[in-house]
Amino acid sequence: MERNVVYIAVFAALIAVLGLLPKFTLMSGIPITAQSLGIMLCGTILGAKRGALAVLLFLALVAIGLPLLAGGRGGLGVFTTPWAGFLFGFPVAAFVTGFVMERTHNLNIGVLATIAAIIGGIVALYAIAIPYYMVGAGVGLWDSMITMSPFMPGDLIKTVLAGLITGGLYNARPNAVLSRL
Amino acid sequence: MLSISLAGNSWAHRLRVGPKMAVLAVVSVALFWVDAWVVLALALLGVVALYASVDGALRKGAWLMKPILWIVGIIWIFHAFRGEYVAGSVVCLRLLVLVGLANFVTLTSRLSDMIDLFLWLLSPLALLGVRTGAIGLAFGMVMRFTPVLIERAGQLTQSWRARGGKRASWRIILPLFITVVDDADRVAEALRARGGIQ
Amino acid sequence: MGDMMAISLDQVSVKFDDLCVIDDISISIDDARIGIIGANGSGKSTMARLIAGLIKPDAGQVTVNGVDVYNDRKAALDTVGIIFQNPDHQIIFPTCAEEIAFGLTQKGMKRKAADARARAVLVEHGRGDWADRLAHQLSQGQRHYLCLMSVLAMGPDVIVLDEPYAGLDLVTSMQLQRTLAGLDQQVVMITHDTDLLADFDLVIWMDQGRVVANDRPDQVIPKFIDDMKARANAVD
Repeated sequence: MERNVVYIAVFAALIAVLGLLPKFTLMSGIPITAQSLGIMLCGTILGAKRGALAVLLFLALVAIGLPLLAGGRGGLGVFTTPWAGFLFGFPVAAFVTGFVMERTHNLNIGVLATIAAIIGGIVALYAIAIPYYMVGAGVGLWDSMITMSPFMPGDLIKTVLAGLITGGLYNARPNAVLSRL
Repeated sequence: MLSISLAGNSWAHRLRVGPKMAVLAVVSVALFWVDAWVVLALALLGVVALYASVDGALRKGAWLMKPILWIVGIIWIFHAFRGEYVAGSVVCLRLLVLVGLANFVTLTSRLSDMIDLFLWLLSPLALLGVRTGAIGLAFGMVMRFTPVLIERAGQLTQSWRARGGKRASWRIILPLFITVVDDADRVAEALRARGGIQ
Repeated sequence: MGDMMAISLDQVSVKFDDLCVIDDISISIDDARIGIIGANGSGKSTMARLIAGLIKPDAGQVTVNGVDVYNDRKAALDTVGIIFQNPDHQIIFPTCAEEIAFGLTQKGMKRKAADARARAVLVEHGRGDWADRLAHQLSQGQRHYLCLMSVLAMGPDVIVLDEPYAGLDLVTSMQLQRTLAGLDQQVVMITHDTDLLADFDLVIWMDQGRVVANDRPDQVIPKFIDDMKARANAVD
């Protein structure tokens, strides 16, 4: 019990810390932060339930006014924009990622983590974020996808990083990868 | 870990958080039934007036609004591209009012009051068997550990550079996670030493 | 049942996987100041955690003042407190008052009362201005002191310290030494620094999960140092 709660809290803090790492800029010129990598890692490392709880905890602290989002932003306002579909989709993304991790056993863990991160951190996340944006911004499917397209290459890179980091952590500290216990 | 809220004792600070949040929720929902751009423009002026009535709120509010302006701009351009100037303006104005009001509540509410309200809202979960005490504990732990982990990430970045690496970037994430899970196991132990989670 | 006024281990063994870290130790100690020394991996940290009731003995029983500290956690909170080497592993709340109040609420105090008591504790220690200070803005030594106040506030009979001086500068460690010397509680200290134990009542020397010696400091420490020197030379 104590271990679960501490891991959930520490991973919520890690999501915040990853948002502060220096941004790397893609060829498209769009800066990407490692914050959504943190969401994927919550799923791949903590598993479905704990991963989703860590993300919910992170979002709750953003909502009450802590500056934990990339760029030091926070507060209630970020939840009222059409992009908030990503925020609301984050816990689902972590849950789906963790679910895939927990239910698949005959794959190399790094490869599996990348696949899980694609399914949870991209497919499930955008399945929530795109309709949300369409309604909030009052635009069609195409316009939404064009608006979000600059971020997708970065997200794909992050799924690969999620695989490398999860695999590396599993080698170093197998007991810490709760999704595999 | 400091909140983004403004220190101060203005009229808006003195209002209780619960009613403030309730008003915000009702107004936010009601805004979706308003389609007249004139009304929304007046509402936006009203929001600016709210900010102007509190010391320092305009500056901080504008800083919080900066990334939102990008979002608003892109949405408007997409609408304009299809000739929907009025519809685009309505969406954008509504968005600015919504974000502005929500941030105003954040800026004028103390963190501890927000936490209390949040835990109060979650308290019915106890009926479902959720250990709500653990939630409050977890809140505190995140606020405690975030600065510690930021410092740790900074140390790792420096030791990366000290040994010739140019940019540490994502490569410090794995070592960061390894030290952090080691710490987490120690913290869980220390928590048990003082009675654990009841 | 163990001695009512002592730390007592009765045929205790602890295994991690197949490795025996504590090997059938029986000992009863009632001295006021106890030091535990030994090389890395000798089992002294495990010993500290056993006395604090944090790990389950694979065999035997650990009691402190008659309380089964592993199984009866409620009574254990009144009996023994532990301070770890790294304060960042121990401080779980943002502000000092919250950190101290936590242990009090764990013992059944209401939140408001615990907060008031925590502030009073800080004042008693001459640190009244710390109440709303953020823990991460304190220095390493100050954070150690916060951990100590948090544990003292819970009023245990015994305080276990695991390498409390590691990483402290000279001034801070002298201050800590003075604070510890003034405590009414029974103190068990794990350390590598034998100088700190000169005026202790008892020193326990551990090696490979066993107690090698258990006597007054002037009896144990010289032999311990000779043995460590011999080992260092053997490596050359």
